[in-house]
Amino acid sequence: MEQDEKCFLRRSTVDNRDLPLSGYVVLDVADEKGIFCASILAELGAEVIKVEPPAGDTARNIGPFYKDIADLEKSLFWYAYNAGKKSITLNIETLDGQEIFRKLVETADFVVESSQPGYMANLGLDYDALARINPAIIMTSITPFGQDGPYKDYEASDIVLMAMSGLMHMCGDADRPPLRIGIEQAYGHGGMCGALASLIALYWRNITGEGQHVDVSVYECVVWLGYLTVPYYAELKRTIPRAGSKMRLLTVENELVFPCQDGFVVHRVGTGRVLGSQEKRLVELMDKEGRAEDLTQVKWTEIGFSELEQDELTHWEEVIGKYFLAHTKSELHKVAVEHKIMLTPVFSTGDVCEYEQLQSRKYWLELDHPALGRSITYPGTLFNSSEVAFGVTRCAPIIGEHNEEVYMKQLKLSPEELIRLKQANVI
Amino acid sequence: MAKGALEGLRVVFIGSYWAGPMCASAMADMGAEVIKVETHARIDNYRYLYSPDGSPERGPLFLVIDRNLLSVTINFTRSEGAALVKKIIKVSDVMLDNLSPRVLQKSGLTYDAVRQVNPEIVMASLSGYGQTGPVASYSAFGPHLSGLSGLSGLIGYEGDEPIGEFQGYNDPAAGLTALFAIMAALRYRANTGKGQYIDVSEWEVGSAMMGQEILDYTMNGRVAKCQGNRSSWMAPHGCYRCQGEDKWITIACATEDEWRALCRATGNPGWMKDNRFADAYARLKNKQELDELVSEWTLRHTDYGVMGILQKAGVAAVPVFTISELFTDPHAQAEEYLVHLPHPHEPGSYVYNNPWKLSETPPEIRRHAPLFGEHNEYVLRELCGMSKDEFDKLVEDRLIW
Repeated sequence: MEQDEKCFLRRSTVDNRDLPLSGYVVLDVADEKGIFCASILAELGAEVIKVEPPAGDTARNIGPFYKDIADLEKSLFWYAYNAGKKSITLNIETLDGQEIFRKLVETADFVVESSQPGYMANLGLDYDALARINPAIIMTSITPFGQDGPYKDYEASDIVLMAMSGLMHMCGDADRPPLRIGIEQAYGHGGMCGALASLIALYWRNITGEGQHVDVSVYECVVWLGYLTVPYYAELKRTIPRAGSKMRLLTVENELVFPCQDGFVVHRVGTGRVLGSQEKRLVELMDKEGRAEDLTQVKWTEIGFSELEQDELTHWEEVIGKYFLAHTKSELHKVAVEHKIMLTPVFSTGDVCEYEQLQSRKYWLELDHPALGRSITYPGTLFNSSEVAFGVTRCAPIIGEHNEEVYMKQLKLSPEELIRLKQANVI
Repeated sequence: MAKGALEGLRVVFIGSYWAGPMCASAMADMGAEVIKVETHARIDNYRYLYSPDGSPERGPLFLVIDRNLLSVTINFTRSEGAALVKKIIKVSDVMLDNLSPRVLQKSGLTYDAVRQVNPEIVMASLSGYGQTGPVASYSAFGPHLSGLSGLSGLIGYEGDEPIGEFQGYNDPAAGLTALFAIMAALRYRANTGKGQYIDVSEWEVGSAMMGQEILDYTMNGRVAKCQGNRSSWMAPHGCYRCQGEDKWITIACATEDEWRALCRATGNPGWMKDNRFADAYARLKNKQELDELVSEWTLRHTDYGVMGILQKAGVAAVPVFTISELFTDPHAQAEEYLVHLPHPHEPGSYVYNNPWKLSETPPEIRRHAPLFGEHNEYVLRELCGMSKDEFDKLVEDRLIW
C-alpha cells in the first residue's frame, strides 16, 4: 500500500510563507521551564521574540554543549528549543525595561512566561496590567505547580515534577529507588500544553476580540501521562508496583524488554484475539528455524487474557527470548514489519537518526548556524500538512541578535537611546 | 456554566485507545461538540479493559479518557456506513482519526474522499508511524513506539541496561500535537477558507521531544545512555529513601546558595567546609558519598517532612507520589485535579481535569463517557435530518450498529 508522498509538503527555506500564525507576535520571557511553548508557535509561523536578560537566558547554561564547550552560544538545549525565534535583550526588572516591555505588548498577541507566581505582578507586568494596555493579549503562564495552591511558591526541577506525577513510583526495580522516566521531559510537556492552550485562547479571541490569562501547571501536564494509574487505583484499589522491565498489572508479570544479539527489543508475549494471532505467527517463524520448542502446541488465540498462568508465560518468554538472542535488532524489526508482529527495536538516539523511515519522510531539517560556521540537523516538525509547509527556517538566535531590528526599526529608538539603555544594563 | 472556548465547533472522531480519544476529549473539555463514531465491528478495546463485570460501559480507562464525548454507532467498515459518516462530516468542522493508515484507506474515509463532501474540512490522522514511508502500514502500541523513538532505551539506572516503559508515554504527546495542529489549521482556514490534511506520527513526536539528546548525536556524534536519576550538572540530585515502607523523596539542588541552605537545613553545616563538596563539580565527582550522607538524613524523616524542611530552605524537594497521594495531597486537592464524575452504570469514576486554566473559558468536565450509541438519535435524526423510517431501517440493516 503506497500513499502519495507528494500529498505532504515539506519545509521550504523561504520566509514569509502563508502559515497559520503568520503575522502573530509572541513575546517569550519564559526560561527553561516554559521555553518549548513559543518554539511550537514559531513552527506554526508566529514571529517569536525571545526576551533575554542582558547576560543571556539561563537556559543557555544547560548542556550538552557543542563539542562540550560550555558556552552560552553552544548549548544544544538552547538550539533544540529556540529554533525559529528572534532574540532581544531586556532587563524587565528595571523601570525602563518595564516601559519598553509594555510598548512591545501594545503590538503583541501572546506573552509567554514561566516566572514564580507574583513575580510579574511585582513588576507591574501581570495579566491585568497587560490587558489594560492590550485587551486582546493572551498571556500564558507556565509554572511547575500553577498560579494557586499550597505549593505555588515551591522550588521545582524536572525530577521533582516527575516524582509528583505518580509516574516515577512505578518505574524501576522493586528493590531499588524509583526511576525517572528516561529523559528530562516535564517542561517539554508543559510547553506543549502551553502552546495548545494558547491556541485555544486565540480561537476564542478571534470570535470575541478578548484575550485571556492561560495558567498551565507543569506537574498536572505530567500527571496526564499516567492514564492507567488513576482508573487502575480507583477501580481495582491497587497501585502499580515497580517491576523493572516487566509489566505487572493484574495477575501475571509480562516481560517487555528482551535482549537480542546486538541490543534489545520491545515485545509483549500475549494471547487472545489480538495479541494471540501475532504470537502464533512469531512461533511459526521460530519453528522454521527449529527454535519453537513446545510453543507450537499453544492455542494462542484461544487463551483469554485473564486465564494466563505465570509459569507458562515465563516459559514462553524464555523460549522466545532465546530466539531473539539469535538475531539482531534490525533482523527482528524486519521480520516484525513483514509479518505484522508487534515488536520493535530499542533504538538508541543514533539508531533514530539513521533510521530509513524517518529519512524517507524527510523528517530531518538542516538549518544554517552562521556563528558555528556549519548547519545543524534538527528533528523536524511535530506534524505534516497537505496544505502548509510548517516548520522554522532559522536556527536558535544569538543573544540580542535582533536588538537593532526590534528596538530601532520597530520601536524607533535612536542609536543614542540604545547606547544609554545598554550602559544602564536595561538592554 | 461558563462558555467553552471551542463552543460551536463540531468534530467527528473515529478511533480508540488513548492518543486519539485524548485529543478528542480535550477538545470536548474546551466546549467543542465531539462525536465519536463507534461500531460493534470495531469496538474500542478500552471499553472492556479491566471492566469489573466485562460490560463495555464500565471500562475504567474508557470512562476517564472518553469523557465529554458523544457516541454514534455506525458500521463504517461497510461502504453504506462510510456514506453515513460522510453525512455527519458534511455538517462538521473537523475530522480526527487514530486508525491505522491501512484501516483508514479500507474505510474509504480518506482525506480525498472526505474532502468531496466537505471541501473545507480540517482532517487530522494520528498514527504510529505516519501516513507515508516504508512502515506506514505497521501497527503498534505505545510501549513499542517508545522503543523506536529512543525513549525506552534511556529508561534505566545509570550504567545499566534499559528497562523501557509500559504506559505508552508517546500517546498523550501525540494526541496533544494533533490538537494544536488542528487549532492551527482552523486559524489557517479562517484566513484562507481552505481546509487541510494533517499527518501526526506518534514516533516523530516522541523523537522531537528528545531535542537535546538527538542534537547531541547529530552535532557531537554521541549516543545518549541511561542516566538513572543523575543530573549532568546538579548534586545532590536524585531519589532518597525516607522513613516508612517504599517512601522516597526527590531532591534537586541547583545552585551554591541552595547547597548551603540544604546543609544548614539538614543540620550539617560541616558539609559546607568539606572539600569533597566544595562546588557542583566536586559534588558530582563525589556523588556516591554525598548521596549516602543525604540518605542518612532523609531516612530519619518522613517524605512530607523532608519536603517541608527543604522547601522552606528554598530547595526543590517533593516526595515520590504513589497514586493515592494524587487524591490526598493538599496541593492536588486544592487544585481539584481529580474530578469525580457520576455515570449511569457506575458509582462514578475519577477523571483527570485539564492541566490548563483559561481565565474566561476554563475547561469543563460536563458529562461522563458516552454509552455505546447514546447519541444516535441526536446525531442522525437531529443533526443529519434523517427521518424516523430511514433511521429504523438502518438499525434493522445493522448499519446503525
